[in-house]
Amino acid sequence: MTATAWWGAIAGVGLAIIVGAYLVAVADRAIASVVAGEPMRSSILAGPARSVALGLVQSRTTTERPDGAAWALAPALYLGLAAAALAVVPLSETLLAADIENGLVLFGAAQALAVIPVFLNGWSPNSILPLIGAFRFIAQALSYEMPNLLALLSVSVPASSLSIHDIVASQHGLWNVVRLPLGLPLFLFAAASLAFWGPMNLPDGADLAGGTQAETSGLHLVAWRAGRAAMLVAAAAMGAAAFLGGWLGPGLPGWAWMVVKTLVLLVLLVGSRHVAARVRAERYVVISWAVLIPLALLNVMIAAVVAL
Amino acid sequence: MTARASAGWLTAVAARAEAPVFLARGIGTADADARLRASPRLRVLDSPRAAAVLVVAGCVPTELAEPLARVHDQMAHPRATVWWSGAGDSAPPVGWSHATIVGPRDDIEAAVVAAYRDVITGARCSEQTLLPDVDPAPWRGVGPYGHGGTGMTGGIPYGRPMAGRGDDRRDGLTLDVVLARIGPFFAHLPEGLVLEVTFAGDVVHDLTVKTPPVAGVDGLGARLPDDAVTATMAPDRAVPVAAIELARARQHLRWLARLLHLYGLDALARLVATKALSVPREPQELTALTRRLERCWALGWATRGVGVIDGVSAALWGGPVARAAGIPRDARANSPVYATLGFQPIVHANGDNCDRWRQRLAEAVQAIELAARAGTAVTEPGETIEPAAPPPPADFGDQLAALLIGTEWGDAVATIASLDPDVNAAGYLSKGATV
Repeated sequence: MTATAWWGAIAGVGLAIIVGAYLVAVADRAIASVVAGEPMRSSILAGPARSVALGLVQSRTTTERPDGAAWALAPALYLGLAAAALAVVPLSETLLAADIENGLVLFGAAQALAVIPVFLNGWSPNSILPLIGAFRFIAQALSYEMPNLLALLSVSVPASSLSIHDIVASQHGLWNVVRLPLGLPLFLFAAASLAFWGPMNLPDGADLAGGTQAETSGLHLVAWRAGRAAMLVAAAAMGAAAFLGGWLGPGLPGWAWMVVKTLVLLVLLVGSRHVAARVRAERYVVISWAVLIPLALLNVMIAAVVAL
Repeated sequence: MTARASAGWLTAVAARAEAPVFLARGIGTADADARLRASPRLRVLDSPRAAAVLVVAGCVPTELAEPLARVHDQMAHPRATVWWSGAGDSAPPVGWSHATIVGPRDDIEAAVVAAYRDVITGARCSEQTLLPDVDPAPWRGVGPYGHGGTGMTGGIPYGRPMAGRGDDRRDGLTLDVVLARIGPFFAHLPEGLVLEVTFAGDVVHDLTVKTPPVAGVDGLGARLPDDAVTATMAPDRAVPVAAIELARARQHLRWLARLLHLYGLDALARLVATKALSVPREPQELTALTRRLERCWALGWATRGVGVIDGVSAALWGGPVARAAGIPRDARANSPVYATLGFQPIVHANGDNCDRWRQRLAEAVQAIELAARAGTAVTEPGETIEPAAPPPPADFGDQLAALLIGTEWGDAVATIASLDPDVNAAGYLSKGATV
């Protein structure tokens, strides 16, 4: 890979993150307006930009004896992991930022490592409510990672490959969402958990006054929210590639199909925030271990049968 | 473009954002939360850190002056305060001369937006800290690590208790416990309520209500002015039934909006808050909302079986809490005028958080139906009127402790929010002395 290609890939992923995160914020406001029965206002489009401007204007608060370096690192690390996860997802048959054979493994690793920045963001302020949020995410991550990885593993079986490019190519004729029907719901559950979004927002819930972000303000808060939105974008893109046939589809160019499918999943994920109440931590853990992991194992077995 | 010009452009854009607000609820804040939450130009936050405007609603007893100042000092710069008096005070409170004063009938939304834009654009100076930035206690310098404890745990090095070992209260997993005070301006606790909570991870290991009883309670509920209709005016003279029932519906809807926000359903909370501000005159206007909430399986799933209060305890709480537990006790059942309207108490069976929100929602719809049927009917002078939220039992602190120890913090907050004990009505706060 040439230096130009490297820079092009980095710029492409960066642009996708920025545009995607902005779309998440716009979609969130639009869906909220629909649910609240309000007219669509111009602030739906401009609102996220204004909030970013406010973040740039507002000072960054601090707490009593925080771990300042770890606290500052948390949003950057979370954003970086989202970018790494997105980089391995192909936009089309030929357009891919990081063309590696084990893309699925890297994506899974980026998701698994997300527990570190979330814990850092809760632990570093030296404050009780963010700390509880961090504790919650540890329990949450231990619960969703197994269904998540098993759901991802299931799509690699019919493709006989860990390359996401090969996984998309293996869906010619029949998408994984049809032949592995449990995979996409399991993956979306994990995606919402990973970004602790909507009903899965245990670490940053209102009962903790914002949880891991309760003590943050200004640019730090903007970066943290952007990281969550970027993680949703990465997960939606992977969901489109792994379960909805990626760039495959009639008529439109491959990249257009990929964008459309990603947006559909993104709207589903974003919209969950406005229709489903936050689940209880205990029930979340019980359901994950007692129901979702067995379902995910069943999904892998179905994948093995499909691959025969 | 010069740095100054770009900064000016940035602040101009930021000034057009929704104003991030933290609401500190004092006494007399009946519809403060709903009025702020329903506004599309404001964003009510759960933490003061990222708020640009602190809205202090109602009267703040002197006992809560220091906690309020601490909330103020936690906010990021630039910041401003809007003091929204719920009791008609017009003079700037002592120590808060920098605040914008807004009367109970003024346009709070416009005042907050103006304060926000002024402070963001620099037309108004960001407020300075009110309390000295010092540790609550010095470093102990005692013990092997100087923290005042033994080993690597225990002690209160800067007046903040460190984590220490605690007994197992739930599942055999012994965790370190840490003590924290939550309140009196925690967004999802009743106004003025202070809890001293020992956490073991996410579990409430121990809990004590710490809000000090103060002399001088005048008997008025904290949630003026609507409670005035039901609690104070009714015994003295005849009151229009329609006014009572619309006030009841309003109070239930405001409560529901806060609960929906607690469960993360912000858009629905905004919808309900809007309806609370302008209560529909026809019950059919709440049909779609009722159907949507009843069908929200996730809300039922999150609240079912949590915070169960039944039997004697439920009877002591009275009102919707008792009726949600299947106790059909309602003063309206003994009222001649309500008998002519065909009133029958609504009850649920389980007495959990789920039945409490269903109870209040059903009673809101029923109240609108009664108001529509009542026409010009009035109560008889001296008649006992069922309040929308009766005062909690005098020992509600002990009841809360018995109910919540061993639960997860999320369930504990949701249970307290569903009970919504009126701290002032329980005699825990004074109303006379204000900041």
